[in-house]
Amino acid sequence: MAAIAPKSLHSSSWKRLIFSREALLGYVFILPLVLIMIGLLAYPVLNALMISLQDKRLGTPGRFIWFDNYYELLFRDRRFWTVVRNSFSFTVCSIIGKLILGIGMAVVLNQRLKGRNLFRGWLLLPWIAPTFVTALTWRWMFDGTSGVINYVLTGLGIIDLPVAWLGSGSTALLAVIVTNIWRGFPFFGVSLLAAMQAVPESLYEAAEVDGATPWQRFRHITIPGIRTVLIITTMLSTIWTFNEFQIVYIMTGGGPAFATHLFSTYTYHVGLTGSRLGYAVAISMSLTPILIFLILALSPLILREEHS
Amino acid sequence: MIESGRRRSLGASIRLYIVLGIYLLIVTFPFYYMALTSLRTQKDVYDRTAMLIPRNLTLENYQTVLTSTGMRTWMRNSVIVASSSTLLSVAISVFAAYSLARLRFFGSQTMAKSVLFMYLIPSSLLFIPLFLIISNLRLLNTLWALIISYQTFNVPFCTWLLLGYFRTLPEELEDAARIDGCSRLGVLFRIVLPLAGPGIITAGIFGFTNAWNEFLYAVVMAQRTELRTIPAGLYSFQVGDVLLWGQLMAAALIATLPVVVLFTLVQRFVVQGLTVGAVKG
Repeated sequence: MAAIAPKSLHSSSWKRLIFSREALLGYVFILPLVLIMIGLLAYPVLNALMISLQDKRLGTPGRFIWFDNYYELLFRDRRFWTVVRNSFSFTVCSIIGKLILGIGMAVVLNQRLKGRNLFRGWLLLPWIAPTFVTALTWRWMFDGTSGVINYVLTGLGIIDLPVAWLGSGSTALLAVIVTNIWRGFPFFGVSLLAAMQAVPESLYEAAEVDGATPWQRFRHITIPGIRTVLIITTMLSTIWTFNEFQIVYIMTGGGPAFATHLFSTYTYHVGLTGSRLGYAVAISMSLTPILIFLILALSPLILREEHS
Repeated sequence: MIESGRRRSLGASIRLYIVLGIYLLIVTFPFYYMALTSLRTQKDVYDRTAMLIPRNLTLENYQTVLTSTGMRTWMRNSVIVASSSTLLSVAISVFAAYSLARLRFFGSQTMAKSVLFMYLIPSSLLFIPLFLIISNLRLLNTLWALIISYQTFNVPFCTWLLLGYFRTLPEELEDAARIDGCSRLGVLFRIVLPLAGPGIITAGIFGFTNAWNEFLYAVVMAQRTELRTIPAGLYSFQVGDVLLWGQLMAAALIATLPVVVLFTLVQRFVVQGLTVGAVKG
C-alpha cells in the first residue's frame, strides 16, 4: 500500500500538470511564443541546415549535394580560412580590450564619487547609441586624408605621416577592433559594477584590518565576488562579437582584400552579393559548433545567477 | 581600491579623477566630433586649420537632410517598424512570461530555458533562411518583413526580461485575490499587470531600441528606398562616390537622439536587467 500511494499521487499530479484549468490557461498564454519559436527560429535553423547541403542560388531551387559546400569551404576556399583567422583575432582582441576597459570603468565607478549615477549613465552612451551610427562616425574619424585621428596623432607627434587606416589590411582590422571595443566596453563596465556593488563591504573592512594591500583586496575579494558575472558577461559578449556584422560592413565592407571579413560579412558577401545561398549558409553553419559550446556553457551559469 | 565607507588620500583622489577624466574623454570625443561635423559646411568639414574647434557652425546639414533626402520617409518607417514590432513582442511576451512564472504546466521549465537559448541564436545564422521564408510569404519589400523578423530577437528578449521581473513580484497579493474569488485572468489584468508596469515599460523600451538599431535584416529585407529604415537608409547614403560627412553625421545624430532619451528615462532599470537580458551588441 505504502508503495502504491506515492505512485498514484505522482500520476495524478502529472495529470494536473497537463489537464488542469491552470495548465490549459498556461498553454493558451504561451502559444504565441511557441509559434514564434517554431516558425521563426526552429524552422529557419533546420532550414539553414538543409540549405547548406544544397547548391541553392538566389531565385533557383537547390540540388542536394550532401557535404560538397562544407568540403569546398574547408579544403578549397582560402578566403574562408582568412575569415576564420580574422574572426578569431577580431573576437579575442575585442574581448580583451572590453574586459580591461570594462573592469577599469567598474572599479572607478565603484568608488565614492559625487554624481556617480550621472557618470555611469554617460559612460554607457557608446553602448546605447545605434551601432551603425558608431560605425559611421569611426569610419569618418579613421579617414586617411581628413580624419581627426590622423590629425590628433600627427599633432601629438605620435605618428609622422597620416596613416590610411582603413586602406591597408592590418590597420583596418585594428580600426574595426578599436571601434568595437569602444562600443562594447560599457556593457562590461556596468554589469561588473553591479556585481562589485553586491560584494559585502565587511569583507573589505576585515581584509584592511588584516593589512591587505589594495591589490590583494581586489585580487582576493573583488575578483572572486564578481567571478560569475564576469564569466557570463564575457561569454555573452563573445557570442555577439563572433557574429558582429555592422561595424565591419559599414567601415570596411570586409576589405581591403578580405583583411577584415568576418563570418557574418563573408556570409552576406557570398549569399546576397554573390547569390550562392547554399554556400553562404554553410559558412554561417560552420560557426555553430563554437556557438553551441558557448551557449551550453553559458546557460546554466545564467540560470543559476537568476535563482540566487 | 574600493568603496564608500573608507577615506581616500589626496593622491588617490587625484588619480581617480584623472582616470575618470580619461574615460569621459574617450566616450565623449566621438559624439563631440559627430556633432561638430554635422554643424559644418561640406567645405569646412575638410578644413584642417580648425579641426577640433567649433567655428562657422550652421544648421544647413540638418535642413538638407530633412528636406531633400529620404530621411523623413526612413524616420517614418523606423517609427512604424520599431513601435509595432515592439507592441507585438511585448504583448506576446507578457502572457508567455506570466504563464512561465506563475502557472504550473507540463513543459514550463524546459520552455523557460529554451527562451534563453533562442535569444542567443545569432542573426547572422538566421538571416538567409528568414529571407527565404519572408520571400516565400511574398512579404519581401514590405515593412511586414521587418516587423515579423524582429520578433526573432525581441520576443525571447522581452519574455526573458519579464520572466525575471514577474518572479520578483510577491505572490501573496495574487493568492489573496484568488481566495476572494477572482479568476486567473482577473488576477492577471487587475493585479499583475499594474504591478508589473515598470518591467513592461523597460521591456518595451529595450525592445524599441533593439528594433530601432537593427541593421542586418533591414538591409537584407527592405531593399527599396521608400521602405528603408534609418540604418539601411543611411547606409545607402554612403554608397555614392562623394561622402557628404556633414549630412551623414547630422542624420546619425537624429537617429541617436530618440534612443538616448528613452534610455535616460529607464537608466535605473537598465542596470538591474543587464546580466539577464542585455541589448544585443
